Amino acid sequence: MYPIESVEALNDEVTRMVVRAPDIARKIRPGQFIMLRIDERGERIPLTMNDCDPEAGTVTIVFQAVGATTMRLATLKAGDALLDFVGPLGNPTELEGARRACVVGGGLGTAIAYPQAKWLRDHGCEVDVITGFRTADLIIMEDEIEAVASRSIVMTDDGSNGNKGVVTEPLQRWIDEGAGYDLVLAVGPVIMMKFVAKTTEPHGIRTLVSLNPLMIDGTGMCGGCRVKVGGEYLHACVDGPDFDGHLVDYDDAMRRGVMYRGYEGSAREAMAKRLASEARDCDVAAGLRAADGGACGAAGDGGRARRAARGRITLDAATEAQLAAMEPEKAKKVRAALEAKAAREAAAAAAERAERAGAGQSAADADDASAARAAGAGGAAGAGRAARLARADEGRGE
Amino acid sequence: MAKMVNYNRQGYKTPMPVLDPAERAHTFAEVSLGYNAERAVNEARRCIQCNSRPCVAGCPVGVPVREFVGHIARRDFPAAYAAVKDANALPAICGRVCPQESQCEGVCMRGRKGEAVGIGRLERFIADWAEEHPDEAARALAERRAAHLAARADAAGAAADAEEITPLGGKAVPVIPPGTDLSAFRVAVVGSGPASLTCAGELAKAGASVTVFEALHAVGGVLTYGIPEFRLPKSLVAREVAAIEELGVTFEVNAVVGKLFDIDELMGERGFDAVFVATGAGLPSYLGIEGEGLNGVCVANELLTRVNLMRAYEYPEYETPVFAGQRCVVVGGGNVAMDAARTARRLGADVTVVYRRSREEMPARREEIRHAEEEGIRFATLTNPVRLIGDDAGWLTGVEVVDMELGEPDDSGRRRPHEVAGSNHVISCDMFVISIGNKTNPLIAQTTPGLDTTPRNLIVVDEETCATSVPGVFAGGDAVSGAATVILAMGAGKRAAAGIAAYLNPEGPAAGLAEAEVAGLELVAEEAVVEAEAAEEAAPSGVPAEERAAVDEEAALAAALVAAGIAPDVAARAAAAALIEGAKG
Repeated sequence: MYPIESVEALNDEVTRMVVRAPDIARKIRPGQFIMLRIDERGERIPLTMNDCDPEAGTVTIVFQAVGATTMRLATLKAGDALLDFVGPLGNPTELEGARRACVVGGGLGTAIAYPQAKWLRDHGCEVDVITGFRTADLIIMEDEIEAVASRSIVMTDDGSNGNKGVVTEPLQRWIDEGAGYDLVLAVGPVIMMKFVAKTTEPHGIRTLVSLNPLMIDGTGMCGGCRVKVGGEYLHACVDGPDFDGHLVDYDDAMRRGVMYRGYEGSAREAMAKRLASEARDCDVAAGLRAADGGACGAAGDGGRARRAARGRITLDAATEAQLAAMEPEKAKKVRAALEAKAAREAAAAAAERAERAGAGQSAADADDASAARAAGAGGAAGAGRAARLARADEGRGE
Repeated sequence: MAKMVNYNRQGYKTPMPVLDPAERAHTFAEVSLGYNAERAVNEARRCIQCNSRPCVAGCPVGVPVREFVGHIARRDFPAAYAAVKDANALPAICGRVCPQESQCEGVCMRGRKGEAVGIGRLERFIADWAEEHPDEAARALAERRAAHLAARADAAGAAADAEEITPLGGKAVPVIPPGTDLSAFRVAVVGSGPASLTCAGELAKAGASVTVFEALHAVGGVLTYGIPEFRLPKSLVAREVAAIEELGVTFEVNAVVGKLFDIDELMGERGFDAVFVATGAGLPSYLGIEGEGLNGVCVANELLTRVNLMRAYEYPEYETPVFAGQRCVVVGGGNVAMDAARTARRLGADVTVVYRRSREEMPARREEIRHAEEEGIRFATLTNPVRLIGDDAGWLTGVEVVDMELGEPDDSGRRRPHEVAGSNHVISCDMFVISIGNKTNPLIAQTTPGLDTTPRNLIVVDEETCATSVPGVFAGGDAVSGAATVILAMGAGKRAAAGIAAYLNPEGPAAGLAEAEVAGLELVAEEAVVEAEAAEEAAPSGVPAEERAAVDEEAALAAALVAAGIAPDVAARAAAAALIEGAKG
């Protein structure tokens, strides 16, 4: 098992997670990825490294809750553990020798582009960083990037941060102004990488793009991650994940990217329902636990239920005073009954919200899972968030 | 070994019950149900306990086939199990997935006329029997091993002991000599497939401290990610792995050697005295035709990995999905192609297997081809895909194929197929599975300085010891041979274990083995003469004289080939083939 040391929501969709994996932390380099599996029934998913600390023995990953697995991943907390965490996989990005570089990150790709920018800065390369997001609320890692970049700019599709436009605009401008890049690195949605490569091609600038296709084993076996580069199929897991941006067949990559989209959509909906339902079960179980001192979910499906019910139901002061006046045996029974009732109510409310959100209602509704939180049902809150995220767009970027 | 005078003259294999084809097209439950004791004894009694025992030479791990079948015929199941298990770490698996028809059963004397003894079915029976009778089985195995040790005390005893596993005129598969103590040594095994499991088990039995490193999250290699549940239940793989764990072997999953640590680090800072590399052949081959990037096209590895390793057939209970089309075309003729076709069938597709040669040349086990046919899978042989056709959105709609005809034999001895001009036509399909073989993963070769490999990335080893060009590093299985079979990998694992034992402990009982082996061979040679005479008198009543003569002729031919430097198993097969050809001609 690989313990989770910390979890931090960077925005409504993106989570940063620090995982303890000392052997991997010693070896992993920018551009390489890990594959993880939450539990026995989970999928293997690839995530590119965001940061690592060889001394502390940790690897940091950043992910967007866009699919069933990442939604579930987003409900985990510090102290939980991942069943499988394997790496380093793929090849480190070939950054050596660059003197003047531009790193372009789109959406979640920013989190992966960051270690590259940092590495370049640490190795005597002057780095400009351009990032792009759908809207200002989704901007991540702005401070970290500013700290390593010679100059940086954040673009948004809707202009909500005052910089409306796409990432290729500043890239084109800086190239035209004579920045003299000898390396451009793009990480983000395929369409963004395609246009970054198109922008740099006339100038003959070495351009690397980081591809993130469907992947199952991640060790070169299944062929699921094949990408067309220079007219032949290569495997992103063992030949990549970085490729020469001017040789990648982006249209092929985008087409292949939709292969499992139907499954992904239904899995997302099912996961939203499942998380909501688990939260409900746990709320009831929390009441029962309070009654008999047992652990919630002991007979149920593993740790998720227990985690979700970690909090306790609290009764108001007046009720506590009345309970204190009763005979201990009777007080215990009454307390149990009250707590169970409160748990049921909270669960019902949380579930209703989660389902409404899952069915496409306003995100604000689901966000207000306060009753559930008051009941200490972290799982219900997680479900609200998960259901909300279920509506998030696909692709790892905007 | 007592002669089987009143043997069972039934000319065909005792049938093994299978799940109804209509039912099994929709379930991943195991297809073959196995023998019960009565059927097993009936089948075992078909063995005439012949002197030449070509079956032993036909087995890459040297299972004493004649002996264990004899034990079953006498209903001595514990002894039969001990005989098998002593030579073969994974009998329940081999009984199910070995290509017996080209190994032990392929050279069985009963197979000259009628069907060979169902050795694979009997091996499976006895392994399953042991699962139900663990105490009796364990006791019998312990007794057998004790007896081995006692027998090895003197040369004559050793020779007698080695007799059953020593093919006539040949040489036994090398094993770690009984009594060898490797408890001072640590061995790393890279990969956890059949070669690794065998090697790890053999070394652990000799006391070595063995750690197996597996890149995936589950142990078993191809047994786990490749071979489907309906052919090899995963619970059974888990059982065999648990047995190896009980010998003291440690398994580390999620450990990609070559990335997490390389061979140098294993031998250096991690303190291993030797390393066995058996990383298999996992990189898929493509057809190189237009349209391989279309949605709906995958390689068999992807389909099988999703379904077997990730249990996508239980989606959404298990979270990995698998795309299943309505009409599926599988290209290829090997066991993997059969597995892919039967898997797609179970996922609900209407399946056609396309193969460019004729059915006779299909490398798949006959049983798998038959089972596939029973399940409603169609075969388009002498047909080759030339182009995949898709719609505007990039989804597969069909495959253009061309008819083939067979020409002259090629290097592999099979007749080379040629396209029939103008015979192109389209098979409509929304799923296409490429199953035309696998290459080896270059990771270890790339990250291990000084490791000799072939241009195809196969690791070069000494045939006898499995030693590579790097001292202390041994290799076997598909990483050395290219994609082959479970049992050949196990044979390599066993040879490597003996090679590693001799490397770690050159002064050990290994020295005694050579003498014992020589003595064994001499005895076999003398015995061959004596027994040939005795056989004349006590001839098994049902075997015609010309067949017995053929057996002796074959043994002589095999011995001559071995003397000329041909490997014993190859020699035995060649001799058998020569005689069969002669009989036909």
